[in-house]
Amino acid sequence: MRAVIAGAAVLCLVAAPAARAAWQTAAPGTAKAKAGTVQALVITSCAKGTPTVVSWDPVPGANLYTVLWQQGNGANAPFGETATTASLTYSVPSSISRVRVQATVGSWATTYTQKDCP
Amino acid sequence: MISFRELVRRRYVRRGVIVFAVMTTALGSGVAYAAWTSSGSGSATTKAGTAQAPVVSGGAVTTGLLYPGGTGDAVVTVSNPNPYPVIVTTVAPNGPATCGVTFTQRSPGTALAANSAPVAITLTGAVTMSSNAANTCQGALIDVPVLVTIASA
Repeated sequence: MRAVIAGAAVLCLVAAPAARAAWQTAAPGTAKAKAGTVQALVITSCAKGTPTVVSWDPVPGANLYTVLWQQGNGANAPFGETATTASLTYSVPSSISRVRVQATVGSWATTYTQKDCP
Repeated sequence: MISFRELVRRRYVRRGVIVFAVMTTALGSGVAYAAWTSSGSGSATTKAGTAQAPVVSGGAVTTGLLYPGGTGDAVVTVSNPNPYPVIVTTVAPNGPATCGVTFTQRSPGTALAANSAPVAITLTGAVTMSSNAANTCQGALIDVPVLVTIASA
């Protein structure tokens, strides 16, 4: 019995992890993170007709596209449309000569990209 | 016949001899004592140093860019001013960041050598941008306040 107890004691001593008291200290500072940017929107075509069809390359992450129309004198038309896909079909008056499209990604948006509609 | 004066002189001489003998004996035994106890017990003193705080700064972010409502990577640069190796145990949030960015604590476990140069640690998926981050945050480099803890390895 004594031998068993002695053996167990030896095993405990061998198996027990060594006590370790690490020195610890801390300091404040700043990590860096970087925000991405919304990919620029590219209008691929605008064919004026009845109706007029405008298409653009999809923007990654975009959940909304805002489409504005401009008249020949550069003034914005008093109507606009929104789309959730990368094209829009709309009947516009003959005075419209240019389309402008903006993509929205969450709370971010691209600048308007424009293209003439011959 | 010895004169009284001679008797006095001899007495002084005798006293001098006795004093000399006593002094010599005393000094001699002292020298011998010192020689016999050339070793002894005692205590030396030493002083432990103190742990120096890590030096923390931001690093270049090349992966895990942030978008509204998304998560991304943060990079922190840490150097070890201590004369012993350490491990970066935790990087914890330490205040608000701009653009609605929040930081989630990480335990990188990065090993730093003694007196190490700055080491960049990428904390994957540690930052999140709020879904209503301002449009002006596009492309922004964002400072994320953190508290870096190191422990001796």
